[in-house]
Amino acid sequence: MKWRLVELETHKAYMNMALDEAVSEGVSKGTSPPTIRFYTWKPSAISIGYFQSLADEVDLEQCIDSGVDWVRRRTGGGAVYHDELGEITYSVIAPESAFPKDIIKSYKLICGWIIDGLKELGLRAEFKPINDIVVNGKKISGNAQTRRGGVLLQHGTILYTVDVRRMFSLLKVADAKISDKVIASAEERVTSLSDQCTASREELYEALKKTFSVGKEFEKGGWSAEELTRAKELSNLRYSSAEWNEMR
Amino acid sequence: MIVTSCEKVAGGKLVKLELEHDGSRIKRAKLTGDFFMYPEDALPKIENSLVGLRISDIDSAEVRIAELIDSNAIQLIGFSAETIAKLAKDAVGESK
Repeated sequence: MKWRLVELETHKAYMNMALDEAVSEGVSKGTSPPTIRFYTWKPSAISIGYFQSLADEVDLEQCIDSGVDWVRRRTGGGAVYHDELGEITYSVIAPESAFPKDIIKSYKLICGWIIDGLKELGLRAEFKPINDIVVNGKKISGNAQTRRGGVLLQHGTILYTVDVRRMFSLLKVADAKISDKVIASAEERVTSLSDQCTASREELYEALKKTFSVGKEFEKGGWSAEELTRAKELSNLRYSSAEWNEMR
Repeated sequence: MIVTSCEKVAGGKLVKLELEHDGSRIKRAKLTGDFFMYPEDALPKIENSLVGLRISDIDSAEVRIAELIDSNAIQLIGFSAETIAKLAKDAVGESK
């Protein structure tokens, strides 16, 4: 199987999710190659899981005031704050048949590529089922997977820096008030690359690129005109629409 | 009447169930949370399996949901039919 590697790009939240879906459709039809992509979000955005309630999870007024977008993903899982400079997101899009049928095993396989990347930077990371990666017991990466039309899409983030107070100002935490205790408790559970070592975001990206592609036949590439057209359509009609984002 | 119940499954995910009932039967069900379900499109089937259920028969919810999950090869990750049934029972119990 020959993979396409699309190097780090920056898009709005809607386009990032639209590209994942456009490529998934292409892989399903046989018009797109299995793809690994890396990206960031500009402006910063909140993505919520497919089954989450937007109103329950996101402080929309605070997002508007802070210039932060929001988008519903096609994948389950929780709400994630994607800081423009604080993380790297990846997507793996390929035929389902290339991965273990068991969902957790397939998470473990792909998360293994991230764990190997962090190892390149001297960190000992571990897969924590269902869908997390931890360093020293603290979460550094969250991942989410869907399988539709015979295609597996897994995307996830690797935190480079984390500002828990800002994250909580945008998300509705169970405890309505963002007390110092709640912040401290979250800071005990979440970490980032810059908390753990001195590597730069560029070094993190280079490490991930290496460990995601090692042992695979791949070539670097960009989007086809068909993929871009479809992604723009999905971005405009679905991912930026209230109908989609507010559906639950 | 609209009632809700929420549970963070140990080692699993957060699941919230909102039910609307008229004191006799469930009229509407909405399941939300940070869980995973394959295929995702199966969610309305699970929600609809609770619609029409008599409040007095709420104990039958688990069997009803489990059968639906089995017959449609639905995979729940981070929660189970038991979780949903417990939430339904708790939500309805709150309103009694």
